Amino acid sequence: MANARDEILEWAQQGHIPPEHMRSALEKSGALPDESQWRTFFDKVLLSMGAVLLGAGVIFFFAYNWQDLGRFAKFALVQAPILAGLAVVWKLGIDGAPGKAALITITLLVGALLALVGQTYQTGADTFELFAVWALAILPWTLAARFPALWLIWLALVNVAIGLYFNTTGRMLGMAFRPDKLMWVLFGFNTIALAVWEGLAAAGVTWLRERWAMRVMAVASGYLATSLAMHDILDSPRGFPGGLIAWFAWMVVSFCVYRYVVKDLFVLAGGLLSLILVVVTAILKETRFDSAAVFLVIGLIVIGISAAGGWWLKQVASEEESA
Amino acid sequence: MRKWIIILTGVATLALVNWTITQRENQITNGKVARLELAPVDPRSLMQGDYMALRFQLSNEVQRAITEKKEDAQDGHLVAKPDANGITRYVRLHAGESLAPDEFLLRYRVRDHQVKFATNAWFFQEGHAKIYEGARYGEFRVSPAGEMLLVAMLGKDREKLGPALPSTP
Repeated sequence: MANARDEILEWAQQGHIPPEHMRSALEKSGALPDESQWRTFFDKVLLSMGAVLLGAGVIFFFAYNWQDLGRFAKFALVQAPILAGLAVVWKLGIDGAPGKAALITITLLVGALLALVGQTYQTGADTFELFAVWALAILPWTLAARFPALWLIWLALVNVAIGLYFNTTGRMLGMAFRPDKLMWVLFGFNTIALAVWEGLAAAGVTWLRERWAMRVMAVASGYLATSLAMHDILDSPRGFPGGLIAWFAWMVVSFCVYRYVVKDLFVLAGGLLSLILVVVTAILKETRFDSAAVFLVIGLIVIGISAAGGWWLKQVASEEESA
Repeated sequence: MRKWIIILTGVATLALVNWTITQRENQITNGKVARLELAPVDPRSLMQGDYMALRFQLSNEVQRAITEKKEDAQDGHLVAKPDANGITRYVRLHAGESLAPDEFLLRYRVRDHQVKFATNAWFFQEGHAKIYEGARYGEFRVSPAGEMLLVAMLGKDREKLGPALPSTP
């Protein structure tokens, strides 16, 4: 992680490298990408853009020709590229970039196909069923592909399905819809997903070791924990503070894990943001937004926590470099 | 091995989707015909550009029956019967009993405090709203389990309005 680029920039700042030699220093240390690295990069970008645009192209084509296509032509139009994608997987395997790009595209097309069938034959099925069936249909692919991006798509689908399910049943039973119940379920789901992912990655499943994927999940889980805490402060100040307790536990556990075990500055910074949000919410609630002085205090607190947090994060980062 | 799991489950997904499609097509051609009378809706919210909001007379009767039972409104089936003109009439809520020969089941869902049969909307090509202004009945095809598919809108003499939908390829 401590990379040559940061080090060279630091030397330059301290005057050890004269400005005219910066470029060659960066090139020699490998901090600037060489030709083959650029080529790999472009290969990847073009491939993934091609895959996404191909999927979008199919969808736009039949959206534009909606009236002129019979329903069987539409089904065929979505199914043919799915078969083609499976053929790509067959020919090129699943471990290379083309196979993975094909898999992402057909994952999206399966959703389009399910939506198209649901739109053509309106049986009154609820929208959450579409997302649940979609997630179920791609689950075997997700399990077999060893591909973090596909797992994230799967997790997103399950999140949407859970959200829509609560929306539908909440109204169906005629009760007042309680948003915090949904937040609890999603918080539990995403936190468990994150914990399992981190656990498996630590236990030696190398293909899961993609920090960006874990960060996406940490953002989801942390966002929900923060929302639960804010919900407790604002909407049910007299009830049992379950949300605040969960948030506090989340903060402590993620601090320990991402400070001492995995060391992830991104998540630590997110934790600071969450701390600021909850503290400010609590102050605003206590003071009922009623005087200008409160805003001064809040401003100072935000500046204070951010400055201290920034200093602390830099500390942690430099410790990482010397390690 | 992993590659084959992906290919086989992919093919299985397509097969399942296509099996569902044939089931629905079968229901559209062979399902029992049910003609439900439309209840008047607020005309301002009736036509929405490319669809028309639907509310059926039967919904009101189911609503009344549910309210009388004083239970939480839930999804269920009702027993229906065609009258002399072939219009489907409400008989009773279904409670698992066996049916008389001319009776059949319709499945309803309760969403947003409203009783709903399959769909609450009839979609048409933009600009075709005029064709459906005089609609009086909705024609469904019903599976033996009571699952419904809306296939056409009918005028006051039970004539089909506009192109039959879903349009044949």
